Amino acid sequence: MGNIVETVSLWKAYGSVWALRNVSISINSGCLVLVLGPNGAGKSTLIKILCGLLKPTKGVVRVLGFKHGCREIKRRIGVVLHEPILYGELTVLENLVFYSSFYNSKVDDWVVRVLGIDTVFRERVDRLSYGWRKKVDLARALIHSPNLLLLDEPFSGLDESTCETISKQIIPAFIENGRTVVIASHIGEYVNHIPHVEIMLANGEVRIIRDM
Amino acid sequence: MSSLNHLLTLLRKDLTVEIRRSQEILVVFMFPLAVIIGLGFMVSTMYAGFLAYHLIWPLMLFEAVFLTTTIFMREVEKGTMNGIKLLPCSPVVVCIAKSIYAFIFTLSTSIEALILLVFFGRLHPPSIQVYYIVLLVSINIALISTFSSVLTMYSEGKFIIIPFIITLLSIPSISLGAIGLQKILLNIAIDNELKTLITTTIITVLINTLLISLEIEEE
Repeated sequence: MGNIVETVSLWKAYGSVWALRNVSISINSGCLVLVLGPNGAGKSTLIKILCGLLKPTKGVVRVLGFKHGCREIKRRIGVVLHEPILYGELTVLENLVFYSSFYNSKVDDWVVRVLGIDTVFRERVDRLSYGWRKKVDLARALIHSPNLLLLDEPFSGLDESTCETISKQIIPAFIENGRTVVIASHIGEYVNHIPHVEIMLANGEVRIIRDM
Repeated sequence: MSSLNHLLTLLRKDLTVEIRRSQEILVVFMFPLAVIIGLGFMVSTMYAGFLAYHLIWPLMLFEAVFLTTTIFMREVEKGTMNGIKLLPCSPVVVCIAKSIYAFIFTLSTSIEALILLVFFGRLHPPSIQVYYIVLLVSINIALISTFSSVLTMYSEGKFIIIPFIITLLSIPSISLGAIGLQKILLNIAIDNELKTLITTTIITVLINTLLISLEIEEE
């Protein structure tokens, strides 16, 4: 299995505050990685660097074999950030079609069915609850069948059954196909039934890396 | 998918989003109507032509401020800017799509103003040269709005900064436009103004594309 993600001595500063300090990790393909840590540990910063939204201050980042910032990475990753990145004025279907058209892909029936979002296809996103928006946002990240899925706090704001759908259907199906999922969260209980690698962050530093 | 398709997809999305914000659209298109009707009642026939022509510049500035707050700034406020940054397309394509969107709005309100001025502002039907000038200044204003929006999107005091930036950056194109229209009123040839405006537009296009591309990628 090759390295899907590799960081070497990664540092990130916001002004004078260091969010990540000397983070060196490597993630193999076809596995689930859980980045855990308290608020302010640097989890979201790590996800944003991996997906190319932030530039590292120092260090080397390679994602899917490409150097950080390479546009090819964006073609092959799916990202769910803490806040949904959907257009409130557009309907659910219009949002999904908008994003999928950049990947030459169609909206995946399986994802839509599993998440149950077909019932709200014609609804404007700004009229949906936060939980529904999170579900639609997850569907958006999955529409082009990415090789690497980066999820930042995917379970926050979701009801119990949706959390189970994600952890028991979507993530296992994704990993079975040899793809990789990285989840940044302060709770890991939803994915405890899946073998995974746990990376503990605290104050921007990697404290523990262990197989679970 | 080609860059052209990316561009059209982005443009279609921006126009759909804007059209669904019907109150803002209404204000933008009603503002010239209100101002021009006011002018029609207040100004005597003697000065109407002169004033009517030059009324188009403050209307364009208003449009520029409105556009600046919508183009990239709203994407940042709504959190969708991250979505734009994550798209596998060139920042130049994003920049061009936003500039075209801004141009469509600037030009349509300027044409609306010219038509309204004929009806309510006692303006003689404008010659084709007037449309050339309005077209070129509209392109400049659209680019300036796009650039200002990128420049101020992460700034805390953006709503105070925007009018200053826009006024400052618009001075060259609006001055040239005003001189051109004044010459048309006096039946003097405007070849020099048109050439300078075309040059200014090309320079603005190049500078904006370069700076916006860098700015979108940076954080």
